[in-house]
Amino acid sequence: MDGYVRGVMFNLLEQFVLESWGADAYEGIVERCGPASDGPFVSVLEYPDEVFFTQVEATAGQLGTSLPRTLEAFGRWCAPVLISRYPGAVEGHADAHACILALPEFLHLEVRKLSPETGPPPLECDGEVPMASVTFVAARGLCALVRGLLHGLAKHFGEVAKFEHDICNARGGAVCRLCVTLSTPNQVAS
Amino acid sequence: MKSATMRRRLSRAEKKVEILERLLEDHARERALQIIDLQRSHDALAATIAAMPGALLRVDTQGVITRASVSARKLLGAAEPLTGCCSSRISDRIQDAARGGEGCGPAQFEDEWSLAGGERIPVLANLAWEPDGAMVCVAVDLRERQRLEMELRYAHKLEAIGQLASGIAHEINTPLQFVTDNLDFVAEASADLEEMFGAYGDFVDSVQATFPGPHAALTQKAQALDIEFARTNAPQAVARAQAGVKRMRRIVQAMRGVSNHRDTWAEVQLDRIVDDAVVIARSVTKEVADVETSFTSGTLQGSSSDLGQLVLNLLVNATHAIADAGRRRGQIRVCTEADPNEVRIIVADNGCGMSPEVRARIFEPFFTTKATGHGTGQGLALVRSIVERHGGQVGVESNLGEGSTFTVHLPRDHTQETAA
Repeated sequence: MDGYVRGVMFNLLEQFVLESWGADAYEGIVERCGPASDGPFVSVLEYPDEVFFTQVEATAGQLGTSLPRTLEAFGRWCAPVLISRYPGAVEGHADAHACILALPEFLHLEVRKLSPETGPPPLECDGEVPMASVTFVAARGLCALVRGLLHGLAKHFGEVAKFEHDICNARGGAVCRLCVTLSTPNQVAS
Repeated sequence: MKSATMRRRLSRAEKKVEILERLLEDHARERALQIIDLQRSHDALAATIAAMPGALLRVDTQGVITRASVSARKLLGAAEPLTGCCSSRISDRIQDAARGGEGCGPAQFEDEWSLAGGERIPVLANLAWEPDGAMVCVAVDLRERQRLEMELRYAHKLEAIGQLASGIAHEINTPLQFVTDNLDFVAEASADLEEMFGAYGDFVDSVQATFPGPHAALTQKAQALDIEFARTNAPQAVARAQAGVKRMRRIVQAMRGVSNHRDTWAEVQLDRIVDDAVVIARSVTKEVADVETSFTSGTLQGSSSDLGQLVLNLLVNATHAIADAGRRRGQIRVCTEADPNEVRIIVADNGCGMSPEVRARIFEPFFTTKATGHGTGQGLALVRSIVERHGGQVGVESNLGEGSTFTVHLPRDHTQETAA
């Protein structure tokens, strides 16, 4: 299924590589991916997800790690950046659980900001504290990126997230479902 | 960083700036267009609210008025803006609805609102809720509707009385006929008896010398019974009774003509119809005015019952105008005129007359200058409707305090098909 990825994710990936391995490493990745990856990528525009996947795979190859580990690391790194850029995602929420449950509405608003006709994102969040069930559709193992983002989100609230990933697109599931258990470090210790 | 890398990154950054500038331009243009659209929508909404006959209020979840249309201020007689006021000042029910949400679905109910002066008026309140819980209320003043409903009830009552009178006229007609016949018989018999009485008198006088006793007894009896008085006055009494019955028959006949519900379109004798209406209206005109008539119109195509109603309404209107003038006794002139193509009915009075403002509205349905229950406001509207149905026109000349003259112009040969 052909999809699109917002330019902001390309820019964050570039920043992630620049901060960790420098400009030459990033240019090496771009060269390896071909002309489509040369950009420039503008945060408010959309680009074919194929280009993004190619860049992420190339990044994993450059770092010599697996794709899921690269994506999760990228997600963890992205979370605070995204929170500082979109503070509305966390404002007004007492904890990570409340924030996660409000994510679909927040993301819908962000999507509609640029494309007013767009419907709600394919993301469902529910569950009672401390559990949250996050269900979505993720092509090519992008669920690892979501996991990384949720780790980062929990960390913002001073919490720790543990996951059960019982259904996954990569394992033939119709959707991906992450069951998140949230706790504070003290609770973990006890 | 290698210089080649730096050049590539610089080139990419320059392209990015170019794209962003273009996006900014597009976005600014789009935003300007949206503002224009928004302004147009705002203007259209403001015009709609200004044109709305109802009063519009927006009340927040605390019951505070956050918006009020000009018509709302007018309806409530508020000198100051209503925005910021508590809705309980107008109606407790409105405040409760705003606070309670009332299921957040559209709602409608009749309510009583308090005006600035303390008077309470009936309104029909229509409520709807915005997504944020604020309530929008459009209220319509029910005073005019209630007045019209009362007038309509009064009109129905009058119609029922009219039908009853028509039925009574039909019922009276037959006994009146035989009263007339019997009175004619009594008149004839009375004349014969008078003749016979004369002969008997001559005979009795001729035998007075022969039969003085019986003659004296008969003379005494005649004096005791006052036979001379009876002989002199009985024919006059019968003649007066005949005249009275004749007038009754004329009234009944006129009522039957005017209340004829078989609405047939035919060649009608307008003078006869107008005369009938004058006869019927006499019950109301005789108390306040002398009616002068003059008929020279002939025939036309039309509905006799409608035309009778038309003249009756003009006569009743003239009578009311004279009564309102406060004169001791007024004058009503009813005449018909004709030329080859049209006939005219003219009803003139020297009553109170009308101001130009009243004159401009008198043919509107339900328009009346009388107090509620004293006039339906339909009389002259019906006149216009009947005139139009006959393809004619009605005009009025009037001077305040001097009187009014209504002139109805009717074509002679208007067909029913055209009328329909």
